[in-house]
Amino acid sequence: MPSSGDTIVVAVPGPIDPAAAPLARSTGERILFRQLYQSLIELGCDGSVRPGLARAWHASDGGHGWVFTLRSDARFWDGVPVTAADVRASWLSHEIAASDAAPWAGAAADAVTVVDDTTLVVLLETAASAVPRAFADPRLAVVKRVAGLGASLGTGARWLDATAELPTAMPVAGRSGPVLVFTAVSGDPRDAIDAGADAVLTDDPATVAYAAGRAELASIPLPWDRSYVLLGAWSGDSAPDGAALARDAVRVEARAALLPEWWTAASQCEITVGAPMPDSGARGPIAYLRDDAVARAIAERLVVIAGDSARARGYGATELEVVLRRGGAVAAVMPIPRMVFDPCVARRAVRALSQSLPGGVLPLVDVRRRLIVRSALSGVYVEWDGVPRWR
Amino acid sequence: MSFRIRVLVAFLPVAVVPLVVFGLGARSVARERLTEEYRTRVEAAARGIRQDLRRRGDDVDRRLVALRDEAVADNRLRRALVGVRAERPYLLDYAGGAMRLAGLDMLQLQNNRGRILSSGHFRNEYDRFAPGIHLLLQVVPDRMALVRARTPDGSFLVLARARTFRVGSQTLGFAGGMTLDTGFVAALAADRELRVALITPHDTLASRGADSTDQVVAQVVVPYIDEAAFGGLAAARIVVSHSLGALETWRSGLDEWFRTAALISIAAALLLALWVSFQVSRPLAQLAARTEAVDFDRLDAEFPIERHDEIGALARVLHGLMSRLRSGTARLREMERRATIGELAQQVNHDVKNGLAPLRHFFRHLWRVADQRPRDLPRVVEDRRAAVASGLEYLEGLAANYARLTTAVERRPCDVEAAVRETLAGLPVPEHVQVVHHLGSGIPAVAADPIVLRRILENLLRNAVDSINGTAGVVSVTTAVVPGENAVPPGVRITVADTGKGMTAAERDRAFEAFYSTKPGGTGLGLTIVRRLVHDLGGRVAITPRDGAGTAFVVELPGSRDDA
Repeated sequence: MPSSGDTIVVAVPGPIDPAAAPLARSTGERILFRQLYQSLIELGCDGSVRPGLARAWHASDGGHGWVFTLRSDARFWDGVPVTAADVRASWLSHEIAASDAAPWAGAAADAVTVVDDTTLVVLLETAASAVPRAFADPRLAVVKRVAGLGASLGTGARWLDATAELPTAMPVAGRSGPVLVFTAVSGDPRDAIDAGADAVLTDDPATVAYAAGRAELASIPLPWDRSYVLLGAWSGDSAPDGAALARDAVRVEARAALLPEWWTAASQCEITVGAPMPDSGARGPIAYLRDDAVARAIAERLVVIAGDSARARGYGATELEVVLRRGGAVAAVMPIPRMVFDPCVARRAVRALSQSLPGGVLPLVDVRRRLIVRSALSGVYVEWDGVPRWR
Repeated sequence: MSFRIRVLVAFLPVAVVPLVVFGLGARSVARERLTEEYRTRVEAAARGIRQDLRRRGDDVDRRLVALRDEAVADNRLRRALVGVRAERPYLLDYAGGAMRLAGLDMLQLQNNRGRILSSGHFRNEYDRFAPGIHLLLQVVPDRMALVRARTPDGSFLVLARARTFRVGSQTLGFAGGMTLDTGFVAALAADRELRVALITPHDTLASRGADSTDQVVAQVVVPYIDEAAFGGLAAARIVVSHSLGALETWRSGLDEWFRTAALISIAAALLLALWVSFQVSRPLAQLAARTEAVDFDRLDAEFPIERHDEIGALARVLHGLMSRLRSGTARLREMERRATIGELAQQVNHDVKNGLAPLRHFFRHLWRVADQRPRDLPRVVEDRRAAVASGLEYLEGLAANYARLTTAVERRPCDVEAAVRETLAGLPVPEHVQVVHHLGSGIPAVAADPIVLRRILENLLRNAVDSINGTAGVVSVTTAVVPGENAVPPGVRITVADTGKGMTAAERDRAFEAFYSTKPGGTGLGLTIVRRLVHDLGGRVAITPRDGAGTAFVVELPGSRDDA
């Protein structure tokens, strides 16, 4: 799919399903949705808060309530103005769970109140002195579902051409910029480069090495965005050497892990999670996500270090959650994001996974991806959390 | 047990025993033959498995040789082995790439101390000490063994070979193999009657589930190394067994046919036995029935003498016997008729003589009176008229009885006392004999003909008088009542006793036989007539030996339902 003119072909780890918006399930969807949808606020490269759909906000009730005022020019792709009711309906439609991303407690229907077309109030369980960064979470982006349309309408600078063969982000009327065609990488990412992709997001060392050998390609290191940690008890004589793991066991670009700052910051969060299942009691193998090659490599190496009786086993995402809750694994190698919108929300998610595992959280390696782009390509930048965007 | 049942019982073993012998023999022969054939097949399969393992091992070895040649020529590997840090990832990934390239399922690159430098099937087990593979490299014959190789989540079984080679100053070893799984084992059992089981200390892989009829066994022993949980060099066995299911099926079929044949044979035997026994027993039964029907009155039985078998012979014997019986019976009847006439004549003679005796005695007395006291003659005649009349009346009754030529007795109420007195009045009594009578009171009348009653008494009294031979003696007549029972009226017991010579037991047993007499010149008919007459009256007579000497005859006669 060679690019032509103002079209940029972006190859990303799949799968990609626009209908899932705004809840991204893969890296590819995460990058695509970031091009299409907006939240009330956004974070700058340095993590500072800036207006998104909301032009202004202020606290009320001592920080328990936050009043957002929408931009008057905020429009959906079909030109219809975005109202406060649309924001509330959007949040209700995809039912963001309180333990997942939402800064409020309980149901959105109770926490979100529409004052007028451009004003809404969100009630928080815990008072916040500054506007919670969680409102910038792409999962809280405002969308509008339209019957018969393959994807929800958004408010971003690009709109999704649902008629195209591949997910295609078109500049909205009055905005300039290239057309972004997204394709999911399956197999060797070098094939995507050779097929004409303008940007390839990958952590494959062979692809990175391949790009280094081609002058027209540039390799942009993205931020260390994931830390792989061992949740649960470690049975070995000594703690695994993260540096050794990063050097020999993990085949992607890695380093010894440093616990992200938010992890420490979130230690003061009040975290309540559901009770483990009745038969919980840690036992079994070291678990990991089956499709996560880094986690698998780490787990396999840990098995060797731990001794002959250790075993490692990969599970699907849902299956892994059940196994951990039931105590079906002695430990788990899991990635945690290094940049989060809300430390408490992120900490709660990790805690929910590891509640039935004995022991704590052992940092192992940090990893990052690279964006392989053609040198002539311009207009790409990287957001604070490592997601590339195009102007 | 009847002849028919004996024939049936005899036929059953005749029908079943040969079948049983045949069935057991057939089973034994089939088992021996099939077992031998199975053994041959199992051993052939075991040889095939050995050859297959050898072939697969050689195939693995050829790939290892190729990998060895490539490794020796690989400069990046050489740099990694001498410690060039930048090439370490290459070393770690080397076995994986080589394994896939060579089409192997397991590959390890070890140094000469048994430490894994690179692993294809378990990439991150580098630097681990793997003594099992080292053992394979060092001591296992042909460097071929079944190896349970470790993986992150368990283990798997491979047929492994090993090769050593040198790179620079280092001695390295490749251990590679191909997976042995259930499919592999199933492929070894091309014959579905065969069951191939790969038995290791860890587990068992079998081409199919165990069958209770699996019996014929051969096995191939292969060195075994559990690299996942090293326990030294052990042995794995590939056991080939053959199901005896076909044999069992054949046996079942044979048994079924045997049962069917046995049932048919038994049924045929029973039918044949029934027919034979019927053919034999029916004429026998007919002979028996005809023989059973033979009587003196029915001597017309005919026997089938036309048969030419044993039954015919028996029938002819019976026929001859029947003929002789018929002629004998005719002669016997003639003799009986003659004897009856003679007896009747004797009886008539006896009775007439008894009736004439008082008349003779009257006339002798009359002649004596006429000679000696003629004047008393009218008186004497007058005195004896009644006796003479009685004697004549007796003779007339006797004649009337014989005239009727019947044994039927006219029975009417009869005074026993009067009969006794009249008999005693006409009884000639010698001087040395005293006759006494003890006639009881209330003696009821008996149902009898007076002439018959008198004949009974006369015969008994004459015998009693005759038994007193020469010496003084007494003859007594006693009457008594025999009590009646229920509707039977009272009867009369008449006892005639004497003090004569008496009778022995043998004489008593024969006393009533015709023509048997202990008296010189006796006819031997008196007591015979007495018994017949008593029986004709419905009474009974018995002889009772007396204490001391003499004999007593006891006659009991039924009482009359009507008064005399």
